[in-house]
Amino acid sequence: MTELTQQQFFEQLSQAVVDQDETLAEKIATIIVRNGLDCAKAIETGLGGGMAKVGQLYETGEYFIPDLLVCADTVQNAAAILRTGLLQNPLSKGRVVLGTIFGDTHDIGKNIVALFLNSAGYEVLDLGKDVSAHLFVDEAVKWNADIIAVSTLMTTTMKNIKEVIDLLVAENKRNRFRVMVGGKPISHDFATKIKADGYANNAVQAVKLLDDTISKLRRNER
Amino acid sequence: MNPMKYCVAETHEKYDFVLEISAPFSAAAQAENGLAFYKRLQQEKSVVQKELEYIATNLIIEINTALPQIISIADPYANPVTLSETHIREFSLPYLFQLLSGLKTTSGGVIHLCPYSSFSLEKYGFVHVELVPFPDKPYMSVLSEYAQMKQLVFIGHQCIHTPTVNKIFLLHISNGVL
Repeated sequence: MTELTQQQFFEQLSQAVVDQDETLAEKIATIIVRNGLDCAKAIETGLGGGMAKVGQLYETGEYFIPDLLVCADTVQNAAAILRTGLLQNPLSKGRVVLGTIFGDTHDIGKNIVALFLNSAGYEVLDLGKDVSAHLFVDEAVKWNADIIAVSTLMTTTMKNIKEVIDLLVAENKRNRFRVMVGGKPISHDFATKIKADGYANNAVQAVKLLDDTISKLRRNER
Repeated sequence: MNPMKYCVAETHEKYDFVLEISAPFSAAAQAENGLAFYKRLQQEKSVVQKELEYIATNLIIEINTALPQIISIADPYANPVTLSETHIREFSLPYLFQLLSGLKTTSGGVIHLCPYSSFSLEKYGFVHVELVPFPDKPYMSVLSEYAQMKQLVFIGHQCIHTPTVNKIFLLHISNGVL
């Protein structure tokens, strides 16, 4: 081990994520595990901090989806190594049932959101595309999800998202789940109109929205 | 992996004389799994470009062998929300342009381009645009009229699902200088 401090290792790990350097990130993660450094902190500040910077770069138009994907992969591979050094399994931040609403077969954006939520520490059940309102609700109940996340790319299928919320109300399950919506034609106004609990317009915003929502949920549970 | 089978997606949902085709970039993305393909843009640039050239070359042969009345070409995986301008200029437009330039026919026909692609082609000088106004008409009937002409016509800047239009944008192939 070099003379680097623990904090310096975390900073290097963070930078490796930003630089999309999978090999270096895995190497640093291995050193952290072998030297008995704080792996939980490495995941939180090294990988999490790196991903936060990547999110900023995306929002300022310096990074695009291909960059984000390589960064997310870098995080997942390094996290897999760091988890071997944890004394106990890390707690999931929350459970998300995700899919593209029925009538719509576009899934690129939804897949990116799934990958990002996963990298951010959420358990994600991806129902795929052209998903019925019943499947969203049934799987959320079966899987004991916290969040139902529904996307669409088309204006013609936007209205179908409301059916998920209507079904939750009809089955008296509305309060069990937070419903998040997203996709190109969706707006904050539309989310409010259909009485969704939140709206995000990209994968980075989706992670922020869920972090915020879940922390409020957990506070209310106490 | 056979990207060619992803190029010719299907006939249009309402009009069986319209063949919907994925441009080389999107065909490659669909063949592989979109996310893995996007990653390779960062990691294997020259390999990806060779694959795209292969797809474009073979797609030209397929289309020139049996040119349908109207072909609708879209490149949904190469949109400016997902990719940077550099990505689009390096991986999408050159191969879409290669495809368009290679199409030859003596029996007319229409090549309709998704607006995302046609605006990008115009922006980077691959095509120049001629606007033709007229009174309101169903878009598909306008496309059908153009398909009856003796020469191949390129049309873009409006979605093929637009019900009624009062103008059409003819695309003329330029030299395509990047």
